[in-house]
Amino acid sequence: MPQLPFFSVAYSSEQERPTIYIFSLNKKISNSQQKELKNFIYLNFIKNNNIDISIKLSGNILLDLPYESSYSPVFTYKGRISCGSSCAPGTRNYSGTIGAIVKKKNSLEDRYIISNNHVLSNWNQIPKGMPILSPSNMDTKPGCAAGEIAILDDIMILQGGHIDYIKPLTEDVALAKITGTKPISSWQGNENNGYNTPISILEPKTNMRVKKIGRTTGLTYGTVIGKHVETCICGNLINEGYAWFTEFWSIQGEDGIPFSYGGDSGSLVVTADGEHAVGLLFAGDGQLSFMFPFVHIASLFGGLELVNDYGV
Amino acid sequence: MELEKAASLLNEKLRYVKDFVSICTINMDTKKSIVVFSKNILSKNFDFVRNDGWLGFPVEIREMKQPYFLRNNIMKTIAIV
Repeated sequence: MPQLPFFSVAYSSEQERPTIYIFSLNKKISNSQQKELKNFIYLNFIKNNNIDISIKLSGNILLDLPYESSYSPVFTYKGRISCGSSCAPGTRNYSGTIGAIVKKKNSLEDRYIISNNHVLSNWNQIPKGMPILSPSNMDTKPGCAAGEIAILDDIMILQGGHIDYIKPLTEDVALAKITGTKPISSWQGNENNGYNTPISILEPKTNMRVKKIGRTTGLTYGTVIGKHVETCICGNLINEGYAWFTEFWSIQGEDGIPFSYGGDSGSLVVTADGEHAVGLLFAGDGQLSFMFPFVHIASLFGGLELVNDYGV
Repeated sequence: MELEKAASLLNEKLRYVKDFVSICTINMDTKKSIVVFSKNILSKNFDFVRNDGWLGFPVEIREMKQPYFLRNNIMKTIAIV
C-alpha cells in the first residue's frame, strides 16, 4: 500500500453511491498520490466500480466530519428553540431543519412546524404522532439534548420512481403539531443574528436576493436563478432511489459560498430584507440549492399561514 | 411559443442525453432565456442549442452536479489506522 499518512477510514451507504472515505493527516498529498492510492484500493480490496473512494485531506485532528455542522446546530431565542435549528424524528439518525411555524386555515388554534417530508417523515416512513426532536439525536451535544418539540401530523406523499411512470412532484413537505414539551419560537436563528419569520409571501423571481437560516450552514445569502422543469433528485439512501420534481427554483450562493448543504433541508427561504417568505428549501448539488415556492406550499393542507408571534 | 413550453420541449429532448441534469427558465422583463444544467459544461451534446438557442430563446449551458436531498448524511468510522 502506498506509504501515506492516513489515520481513519469511514464509509457511507446513504448517498447516491456508497462511498469509502479515507482521512489523511497530511493536507498536501498530491493528486497523483491520491490517484495511486485509489487505484491500489480498487485493485486489491474493493474490486467494485460501484463504490466511490473519497480522500479527505483533513489534517491532524478531525473535529467535524464533512456534512456535520461546524457550529451549534441549534439556535435559540429567549431560551426557546428557534427556526433554522436541527430536527428529525425520534427514531432516525439524521438531521434536517425546522423551516417555520405555521397554522392551518381550517384549524386556527393548533400550531405546526413545517419542514420537508424527507426530514420529518423520512419518505412517508414515519407514523403519525412520532415525536419530532430538536436537536436531532445525532446533533445532541453536552448541554444540548434532543427533546420533543412536536409530533408528526400530516405529510404530502413523496412518491419516488421514474418520470416515465410517476408524475413529477411539486412539493416535499410535512407538518408536525407543536406539543409544547420543549418550547420553540417562530424566530429564525439566534437572538442577535436572526430575524422573525415573515408572514407575507412573495413569488420567487430571477435575480431576487434571498437568505435563509439552516441547521448546517446557518445564515446564508443567495440569488434566485430560475424555475426548473422536470428534474431527478437523488435520495440519501440507496434504497430510496430518486424522485422527480418540477416547478422548483434554483438559488446561487454569494461569494462562492453554497447557499445550503446537507442538513439544511426544510429551511425557510426569505427575501434578503426579511420581509417576505419565498420558498422551502429541499435539495441541491453542493453549489446550487433548490426550493419550492412558498406560494404553492401555503396552498397545501387546506391552506397554511406563516406565524410570527409564537414565543417571540 | 411560451418560454416554459419551449423549456419543457427541450427537457424532453435532453432527458436521456449524457451529462444532462436540469433545465430552468429565466423570465425577466428584459430577458427571456433557458439555462441547461450539465455535469460537463463542455459537452458537445448541447452544441445544437449552445449557439443557436432553442425555439427563439437563447440558451446558456451551466454546470451542475447530480442534485440530492439536503438531509445530512451519516458516515460511520470503521477503523483508525
